[in-house]
Amino acid sequence: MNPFLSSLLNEEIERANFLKNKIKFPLTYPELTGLANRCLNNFDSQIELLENIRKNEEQYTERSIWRWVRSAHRTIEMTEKYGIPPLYYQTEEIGFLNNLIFKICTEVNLPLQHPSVACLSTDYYYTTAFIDVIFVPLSESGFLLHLADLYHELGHYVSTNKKEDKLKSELESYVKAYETITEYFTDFILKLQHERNPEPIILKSQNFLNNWQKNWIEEFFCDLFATFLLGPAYVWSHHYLVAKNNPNIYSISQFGNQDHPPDNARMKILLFALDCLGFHDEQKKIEKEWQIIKDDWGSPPTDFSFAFPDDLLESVAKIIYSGLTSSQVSVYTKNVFDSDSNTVRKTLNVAWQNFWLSSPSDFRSWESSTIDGLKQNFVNS
Amino acid sequence: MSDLSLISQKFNVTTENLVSFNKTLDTLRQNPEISNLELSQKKLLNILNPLVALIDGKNTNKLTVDLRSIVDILHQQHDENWLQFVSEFKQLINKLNSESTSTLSDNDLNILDDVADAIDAECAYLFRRISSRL
Repeated sequence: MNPFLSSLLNEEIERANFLKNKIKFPLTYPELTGLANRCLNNFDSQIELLENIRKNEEQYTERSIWRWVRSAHRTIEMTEKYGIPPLYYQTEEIGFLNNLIFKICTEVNLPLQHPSVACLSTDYYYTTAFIDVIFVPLSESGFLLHLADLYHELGHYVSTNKKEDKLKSELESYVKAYETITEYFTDFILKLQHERNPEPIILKSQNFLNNWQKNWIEEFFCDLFATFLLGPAYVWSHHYLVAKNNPNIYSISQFGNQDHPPDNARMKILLFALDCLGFHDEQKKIEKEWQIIKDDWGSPPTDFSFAFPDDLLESVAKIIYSGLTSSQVSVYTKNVFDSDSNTVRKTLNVAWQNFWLSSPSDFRSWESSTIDGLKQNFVNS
Repeated sequence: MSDLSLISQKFNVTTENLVSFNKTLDTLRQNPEISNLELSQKKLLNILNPLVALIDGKNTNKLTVDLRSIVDILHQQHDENWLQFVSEFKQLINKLNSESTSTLSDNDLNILDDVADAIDAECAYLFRRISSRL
């Protein structure tokens, strides 16, 4: 092995060992045990792999060793960036949010070990799939209205693990939705070609299909997963986020990559989801509030209805609903909501009811005392 | 709900595929004789068959790594001899899909190395997107 590559390989092993020593047991919050083990597994597997290459280098070509070293470097750095911080800074807020996600996963009967949460995000909510940590902003531990987004991130977590046997039904519905959109756009593109439409129109439609397959089906799945498990609170939360950030709710990239579908398409599918669950009154209320945002943006561009036809959105919502109702997870229908009490998901929905009924100061008092109550419950349980 | 969830998920699945592809390629280099019963060979074909379909302009309809990006990277690497590369690539796929036993040539292994490098480059791209929030 050339000396440069050998030094690089050696440094990665040393770095992984250094980071392993930053995980101190016993942990302050036992809910982080799974994360600590995932980090240790990542480091140990990379150390073992690199040591094996060092011992048996004759079995590898230099080209292959470069690939292994680069891959190990990425895994070690990702684990350092996204796995180690919540373990190194085990703050009170991180403790609360990890208790909360544990409770949420138990309530919805998620057939997977719960992911971890770190309130160290500088970019709203996101999930790091390779280490299963949901990142949220620090202040989320003190407020209720956006915690609904934890359920969307759980959707990404489920999607990442959808090949697990326990998630067979979720996987089947995901694949069926994927096939439905593929079939729809393939037929649509063929029709455009048959009618001799101009090339840019055909390319644009191919780009819609590409974005649906690569990005949008995943985001719609997570939105639907969140709504079917939490109910109206997720839809309200999405409305609130759009109202605060004021993005173009119809924005579609005509010829490039677009990670998230436009918010009007997301809201449409969420309203179909509420219909499936039986929350008809809430559906009407949210639709009315959403209309105010829509009025600000005027009419949607023609492309919008081509990319997101109502019947396709409704079909996708129904497919995912059917998959989740046949799975182990507990879907939050209106009937379940009415008979529910004292769960996190009930609390998050009641929060939205109170938000609309109370004055801002009364709501904040109620919200603070409710969060204190949740924390007290976790201490006692 | 930031784009990072989606990108990190793509990074995860692409890395899993790279690891599996690399392992198989290391094994094949040690023993280039192939038969259609080898499990490791099937793992290679999980990526190679949809790649060929995509090169032929067929919609692959597969929930896997971003094959279009992999094809683009391969195209960049072989811009000057693309048609020849595609032809040799297809011959290799036929050999791997064939039921008869055969031996992989040095050129076959080089092509597989090119594909592995392309998957590695896609992982590196996603890694940079996560790290620098591109």
